[in-house]
Amino acid sequence: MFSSTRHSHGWVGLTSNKDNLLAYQFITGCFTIFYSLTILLLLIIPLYIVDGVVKGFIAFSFYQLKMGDTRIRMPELEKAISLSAPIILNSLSLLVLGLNSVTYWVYRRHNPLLARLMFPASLASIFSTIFSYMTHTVYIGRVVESLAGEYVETNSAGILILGSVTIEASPLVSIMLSPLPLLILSILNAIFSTMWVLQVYSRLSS
Amino acid sequence: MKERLREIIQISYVILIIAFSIGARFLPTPIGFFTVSGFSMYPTLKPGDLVIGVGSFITPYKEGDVVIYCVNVSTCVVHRLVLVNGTYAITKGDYNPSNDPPISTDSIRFKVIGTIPLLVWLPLTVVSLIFIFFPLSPRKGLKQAFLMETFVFLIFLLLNLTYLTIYVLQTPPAFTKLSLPSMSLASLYTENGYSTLIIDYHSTGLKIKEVEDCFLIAQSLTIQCSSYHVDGDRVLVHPPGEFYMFLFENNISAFMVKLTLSLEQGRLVGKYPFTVDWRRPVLEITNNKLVISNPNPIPIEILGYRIRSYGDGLKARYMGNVTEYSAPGFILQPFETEEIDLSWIPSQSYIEVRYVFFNQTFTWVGRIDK
Repeated sequence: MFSSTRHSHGWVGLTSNKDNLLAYQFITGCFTIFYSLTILLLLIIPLYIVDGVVKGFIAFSFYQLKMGDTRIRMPELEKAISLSAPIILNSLSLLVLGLNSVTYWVYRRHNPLLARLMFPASLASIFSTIFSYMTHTVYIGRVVESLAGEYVETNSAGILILGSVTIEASPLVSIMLSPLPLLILSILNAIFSTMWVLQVYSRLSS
Repeated sequence: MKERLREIIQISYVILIIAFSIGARFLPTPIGFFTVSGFSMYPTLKPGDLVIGVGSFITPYKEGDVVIYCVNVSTCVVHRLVLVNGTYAITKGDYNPSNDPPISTDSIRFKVIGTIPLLVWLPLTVVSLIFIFFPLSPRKGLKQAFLMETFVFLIFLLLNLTYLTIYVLQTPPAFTKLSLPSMSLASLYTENGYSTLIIDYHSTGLKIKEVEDCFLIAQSLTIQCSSYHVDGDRVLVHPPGEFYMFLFENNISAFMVKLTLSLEQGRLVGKYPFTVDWRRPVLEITNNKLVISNPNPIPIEILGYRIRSYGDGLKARYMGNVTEYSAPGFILQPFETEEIDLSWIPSQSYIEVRYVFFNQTFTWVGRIDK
């Protein structure tokens, strides 16, 4: 859109070029904020609501299960929670970069360093997304599968009927847990940041 | 020219990766690459491992080989062959407890000849991709484009892979079992004769709230407990006298206590066996007294007793100088002890006590020496 003026008036070309970069910075920044917040939200919102003998919830990054007043520890879930660390790190760095990009855009300043950092972080987020999906299916899914059911024990005292445990998946999460929407989001984020970084390099080379 | 060559390499690389990753699912390729996605073949194959297969039309397979068969385009399975029988074969995952359903031998596409762990093939693929699409020259140093990006990306990737390898892929997830509160039987005993039956529990994280139901069961008889109470982790049941009478009359020595307890979390239903040791009344003469004790939880009928006193000296004894004294019977209540004074008896005497036990009449004889 600025190509005709760029050739005839050098200063106009520079301004339009900067506008172009600022636009990329803003769009990529906004999308990165949206993406990282989605991932962070997914990490903290309860994925499963546990009811019955055991009450509580299970999220990606933490869980709370109680039987009466006694808190229950589950090693498998703790393992899954420790696995969310790289995803949190990745998402937080993307969030900081996204917020910085938007803040710079507000002051009409372009920062190429942000583009250069956001690009690899966005690419890595694709791996994080696959990784988180694997974590979920392998660990949390397995725990949930084993938690639900009737708790009846037969021993020397007789038949101990503790009750049943029902697990309800949050409707929002059941949509988000499908790998496709997250993967599409992460790929889109990577595409935006790639476009921005390529713009930065094309400007540097010119 | 150089740029053209680079483009050719890039396109070839992409084609190669696509062909290797998904091509084998569609076409009868001589070599196929597949990634393991579960723990069914653990520890032979771990999730993420790259499996290299040679087409079954090139290398024959036999029982014990790891093969790849495809159910459809999207689902291929890497399992071990346990049986090949003409047109069908049976496979099994090394970590799976049972065999897979039979498959047609036509569906076996590859025989596995090797594997590359995730931590080797993924970084190699990523690094090669970086160098092909973003070629870095060591001569240019840090000034060159995409150098910082590459490093940042590799740090993130390494972090993810390290976590993935260390925490997820090394061991299969165990089936989680909750350490739930439990309640087991500590002991069963009776107190105060049989008037109190005590059921003692050992509980972890559970407390008895109340007794919902309590039944005493003996053969065809089932009666509700008349009295019971909870004392911490124990339940005390007081069976009524009629229950023991029923047992005694029917010559039964074993019975059950069926309890339904309401716990702070859940319920406990248990049947606890008890036995009654029916014993004859205990009779003894001590300190010029006849002591009769009833060790049973039922009344015992003493039909009566008779004392035969002999006169002093041999002559009196052989001449038949005998004095007799009789007393009427009485009922000896459960666990009751009756003492009969014998101090008035002047000389050596014999005492006969008759009582009824299990519908039979017994006679106990004791001697009093003076």
